[in-house]
Amino acid sequence: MPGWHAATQRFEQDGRLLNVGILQEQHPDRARLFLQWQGIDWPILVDSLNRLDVNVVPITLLIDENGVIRHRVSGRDDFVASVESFLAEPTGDVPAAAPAPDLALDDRIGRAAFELGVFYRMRYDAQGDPADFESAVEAWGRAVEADPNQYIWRRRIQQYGPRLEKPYPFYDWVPVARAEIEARGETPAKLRVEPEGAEIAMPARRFDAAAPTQGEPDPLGKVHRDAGDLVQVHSTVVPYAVAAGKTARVHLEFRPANEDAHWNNEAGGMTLWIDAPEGWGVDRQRVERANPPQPVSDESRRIEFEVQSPNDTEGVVQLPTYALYYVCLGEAGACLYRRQDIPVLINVEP
Amino acid sequence: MSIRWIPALVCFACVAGLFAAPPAAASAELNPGQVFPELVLPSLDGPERSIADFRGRKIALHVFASW
Repeated sequence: MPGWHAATQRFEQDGRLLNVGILQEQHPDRARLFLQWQGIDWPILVDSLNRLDVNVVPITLLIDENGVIRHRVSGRDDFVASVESFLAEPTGDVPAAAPAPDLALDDRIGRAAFELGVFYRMRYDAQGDPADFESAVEAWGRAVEADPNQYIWRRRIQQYGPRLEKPYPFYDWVPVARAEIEARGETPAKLRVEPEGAEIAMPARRFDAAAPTQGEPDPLGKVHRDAGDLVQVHSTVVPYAVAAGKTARVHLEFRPANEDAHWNNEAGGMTLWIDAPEGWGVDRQRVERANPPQPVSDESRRIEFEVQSPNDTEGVVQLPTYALYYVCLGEAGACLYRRQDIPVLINVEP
Repeated sequence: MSIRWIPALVCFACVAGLFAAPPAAASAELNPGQVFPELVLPSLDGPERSIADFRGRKIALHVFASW
């Protein structure tokens, strides 16, 4: 699509052609930044729910004055030649309206599950409850189960999923776009939610086993425990059910548990230790997370890592992990160094 | 568009093609000869619109995502 922009501009300038976009994406604000970067100012309709029912992008259609699709241009076609020939065609007849397709029950269930996932993710972006993110992943999993060939649905899960499942990265273009927009003297469009973790991770060809790291941070279990009174932790595994021998991406989200609690950024960063059971692979056993620059903060924090299940496992497997962090209570309250044990439950399908 | 991004976008198209369902499974309603669905959708920076609002003009319609 973007490569064709320059090609269509001259037809647009002489008024013979109007470019219109329909966006198949969860986050319209990210598309706004993308379009600003590419200098595209077409009318854009947002179809986050995929009501158009497409199963691939990009699609380019040439539509005549009566709203009739005259050509579907594929990536192999000469786009300029296709438009030239289309513009020279007289307006054709309007066909009789086609009856609405009779959807099979599986299709209805798949679509409903996909839409439910989109709504959960929207609410997660607006309100930040990590349970909504987990519900979105679960709903999208059911959608793809109902129709494994639905590429648009599959992409929503891949967005947050393991690197092995990704054909190419999602939002690694964001920093490049911002730099180029700023170099033009413009202000880049703001994003509601900054892409991170899986969304900017590069795809991998094979599972990266843990590189040698520093040792376990609290091997004797001496650090006092936080049972969740200070910091709440929520884990989401993508995909919701992982096939035996396959990889999954674990998202851990940490939030101060109440209004009094906040992060103590001056004391030190957060550490996560992952104690993979026998036969399991983990891409990082110890994760260090740097703090933001301000001395205190109360934002939600995310740590992601990937695991590979053994071939001979099935059922719900507990992956023991623990986090170490600095947290304070109230304005003049005590600042504490705490450990929280986080059992991550992974649902393995045979 | 920067030179650096051209191969990425070309590859984007080829990979999207690889992962696409076979043509027989493509959306039945988006084939040549049919009226484009009169679907009303929010627009990126304004009120709801439909492709039918642009009747009377020849349109190149791009269904896309930034990824």
